Amino acid sequence: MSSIIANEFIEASPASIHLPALIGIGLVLLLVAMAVNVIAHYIVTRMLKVREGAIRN
Amino acid sequence: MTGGARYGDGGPRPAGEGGAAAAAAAPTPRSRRRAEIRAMFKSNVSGRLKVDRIMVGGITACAIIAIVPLFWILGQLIVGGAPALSVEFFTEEPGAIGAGTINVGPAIQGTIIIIGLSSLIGIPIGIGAGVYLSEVGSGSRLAKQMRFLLDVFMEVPSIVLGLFAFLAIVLLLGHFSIWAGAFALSLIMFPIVARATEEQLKMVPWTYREAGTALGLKKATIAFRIVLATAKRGLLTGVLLSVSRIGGETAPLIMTILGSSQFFSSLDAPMDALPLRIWRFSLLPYEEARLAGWGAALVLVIIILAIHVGVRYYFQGRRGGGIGANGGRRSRKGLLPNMRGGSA
Repeated sequence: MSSIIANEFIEASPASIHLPALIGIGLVLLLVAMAVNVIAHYIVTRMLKVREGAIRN
Repeated sequence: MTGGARYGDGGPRPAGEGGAAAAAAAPTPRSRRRAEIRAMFKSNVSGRLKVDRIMVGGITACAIIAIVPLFWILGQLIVGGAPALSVEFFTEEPGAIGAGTINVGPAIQGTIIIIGLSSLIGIPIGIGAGVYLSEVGSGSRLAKQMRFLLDVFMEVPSIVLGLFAFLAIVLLLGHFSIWAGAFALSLIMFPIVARATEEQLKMVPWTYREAGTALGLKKATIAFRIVLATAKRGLLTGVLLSVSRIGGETAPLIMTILGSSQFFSSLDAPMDALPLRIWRFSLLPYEEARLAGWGAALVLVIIILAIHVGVRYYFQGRRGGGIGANGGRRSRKGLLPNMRGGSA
């Protein structure tokens, strides 16, 4: 996705639908990256919590 | 064994309640005991020693494997890029392809300007945010959420930040500019610097802060002169990592500083940068462009290495001393005669 943006950005003119399409790709990329990160963060915190509980008991 | 040594093999022995164990061990000749112990050692310890040796060897090999790519890359770059280097390569504007050599003067200038400018924006904000996370609001809800958001922010693809800078600054101003590029790169920079700062400040022993409080110092003085100064070396690593990260960024520069073939004219104009130039060269189907691309890559690596070595060398000479302590001796001595040198 990022390579599409990089390669086509120069040719895209703001007047056409091309540039908004590229920015849309950027949005999708952002959402994917954020989703992966939030899920990873959630998993990590859950694992840490489990370990904390194990120590306390 | 001690029992055997004390009593000897054939020596007088107290009769009576010597214990069954002593009686059983006594008739064994010393050489046989030794052989027994040796066998025990072999079955028990020598196996462990073998495992130890294998593990140490494996880990050493891993360390070497981790280092090898660096020298490999450097070697490849020097082999590929050295023929492109000349005085004009550093100082002249890139000529037309086919008209002799291709040069990257403006790109070098642009890279240095853009790294400097985005560091000026990104490092203070990043360090400030790190100090907040670690010193001011360390346990608060806001800090927890900020930490999470910074982690997410750090992983946002750089091209998305470039698009954001394009939308927010380039479209607003109506033209590509160095400002937009520096803005995009500082966005990449400050989550990295903030998290690195926080991690380093957390490592400073709590007693240092208590000592500062006991001396009646202001909270700001403790944060900036003691804690930051103690964590300086680790901080530097984080900052330098972020600097080299932005030094190699191409994607956000495509849509913010655009690239140009002329030397610096104003911060409000398009500019060239080395990664951008390398990317452009790699798209061209000419042998000269390929060579110039290798040369530009070599120059980029040399610039980043020079920044690393230079900054480290500069700070190695001055231990202790707060950040913003003018680097001078007077202010340090006047403030805390006995509390410097924490970072040593």
